[in-house]
Amino acid sequence: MGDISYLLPLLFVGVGAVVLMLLSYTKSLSISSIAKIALGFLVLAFISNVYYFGELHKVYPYENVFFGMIVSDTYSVYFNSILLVGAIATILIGWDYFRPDRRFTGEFFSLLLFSTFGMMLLVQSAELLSAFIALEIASLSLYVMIGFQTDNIRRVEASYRYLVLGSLSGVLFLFGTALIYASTKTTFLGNIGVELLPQTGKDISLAIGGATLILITFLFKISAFPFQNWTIDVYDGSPLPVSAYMASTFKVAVFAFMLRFVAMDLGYIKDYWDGLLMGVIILTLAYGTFLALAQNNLKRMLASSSIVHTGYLLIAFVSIDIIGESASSSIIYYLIAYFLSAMGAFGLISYISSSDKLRLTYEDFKGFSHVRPYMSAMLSIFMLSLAGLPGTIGFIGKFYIFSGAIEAGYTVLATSAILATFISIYYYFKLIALMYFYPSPILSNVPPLKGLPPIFIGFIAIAVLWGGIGNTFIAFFPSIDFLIDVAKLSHRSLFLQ
Amino acid sequence: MSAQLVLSLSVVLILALGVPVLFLLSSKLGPQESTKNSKNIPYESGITHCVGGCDNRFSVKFYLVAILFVLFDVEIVFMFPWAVRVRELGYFGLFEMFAFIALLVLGLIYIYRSGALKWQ
Repeated sequence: MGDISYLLPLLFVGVGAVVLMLLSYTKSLSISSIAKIALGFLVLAFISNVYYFGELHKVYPYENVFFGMIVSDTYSVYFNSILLVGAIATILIGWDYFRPDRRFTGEFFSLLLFSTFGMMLLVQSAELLSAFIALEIASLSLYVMIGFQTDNIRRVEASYRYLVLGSLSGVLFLFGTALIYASTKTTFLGNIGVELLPQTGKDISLAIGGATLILITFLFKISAFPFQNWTIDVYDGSPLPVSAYMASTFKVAVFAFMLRFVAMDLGYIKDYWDGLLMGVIILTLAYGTFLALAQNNLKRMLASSSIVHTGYLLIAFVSIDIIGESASSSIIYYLIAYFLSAMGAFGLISYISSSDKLRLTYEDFKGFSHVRPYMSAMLSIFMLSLAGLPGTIGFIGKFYIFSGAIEAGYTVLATSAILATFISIYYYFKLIALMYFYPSPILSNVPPLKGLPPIFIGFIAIAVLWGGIGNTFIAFFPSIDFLIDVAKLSHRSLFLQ
Repeated sequence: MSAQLVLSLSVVLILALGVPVLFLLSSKLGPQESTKNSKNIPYESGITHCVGGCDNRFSVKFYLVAILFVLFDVEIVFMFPWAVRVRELGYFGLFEMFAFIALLVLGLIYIYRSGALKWQ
């Protein structure tokens, strides 16, 4: 197979998006059949992507057409798999949620595929301008997806807020690219780093400014401290499956690009950011924890705790120039851990609330285990994993990040992260305690465990446990070690020629 | 920082600050509203008697058509540079442009079939 096989995942998703767009105007297809078609395209893309999973390679497909702006390496294949699983999971957990009476139409699935396409392109772009276009494809589709239910004023408000702030951060990315181009005369990743080396004796203050502007866009998109204002309201205002999609996949894609950019080019500039990033991390952890403690609504609690998780991820991000390979592989692993736990938690809550227009608070879950024991068990697993208790995938992720931070000499950061983890146990375990230690259930009218979404969420719960304890039981089955090995291979593939 | 850098950065800063300040000042600097009635008539546009105030509500169809027009109109911007260099770019450029237009046509088909251009 030639170059086309490296582009097949992108092609399947892109073509699928256009096909769904053209299918949806006829209104003759039911929404579930459109969802099935979308699922088909995503699964095809996933299969063609998994073909290269874990194989060390770096290819610039069709270099005479794309001029090396798109790259396919172990790194991009790894992240594309996460993104595709995220998109598939969004459709599956929202199977009962996306209904015509909720104003969801075929166009919604087209937008979902377009947004996935943009994120995959972002992961695969080896150049700043194509990265910007990819970022905008992904964000613009998301803005519309958030506000798709136009009869709900909160959806429209969330969409509008995200649109205004997101466009502003997009402008900063573009201006940063312009400054970097002015200083280094190139926008290609890899070449920028060569131009910035101190041996060239150039004045790189302009490039530092440009890279910092791009860093601001990055911090905005992952909702780190000074730019976290939009997070809670936007997550809270979006339909639950869309919140799950945003929280898990978009963060992964943005992190993937920034990790590539910093690892390949900005090793020298990163020294200037050290103090800045340390302040950002400590404030992100503190502010996110404070917000999460104050919430009573579950969706808002999950949104604020996603800010705390951003803080954990940034710790590994800081230590990347000191312990490159283990830092980036711990980021990659933690992204998977967070992705699984958050997707499961959001998915289960959206399933529970899919029967009526509930806004689930902590109080609603009093005595929940007596009506739905299996659901409570799954929800507990996700909460344990988000808190990072041993036996779940979240523990392994946190373990790698904290030990990496100590190894790199950032003891202050590791200490504050551990403190944030301790406090996080309060707001995660509160839910578990309420579910199990109250006699009579409050929540009635919960849909039974039936159909596709609960089965799929059950699979995610098993995966979360498997990631935590799989290795101890069955040594020869793909588990954590395999994922960590591939993550290290991915990091190495960045520097292949 | 080199002198050139300072110069170019200050030009950007002056532009970024100057344009909004000018906009804000324009109501003070520009022509003042005259008290004479004949000067306030929008002459030469054929409208002599305006109906209603400035916050009248229009049908959403106008906005829809306008935004679709802008969407497809802006794409011309990308065709001009190609048209200027069409010989140098050769068949490669031709193919790229056709791929670009094909994507636009798909969008147009969607708009047409979903009934966005109907005036009923």
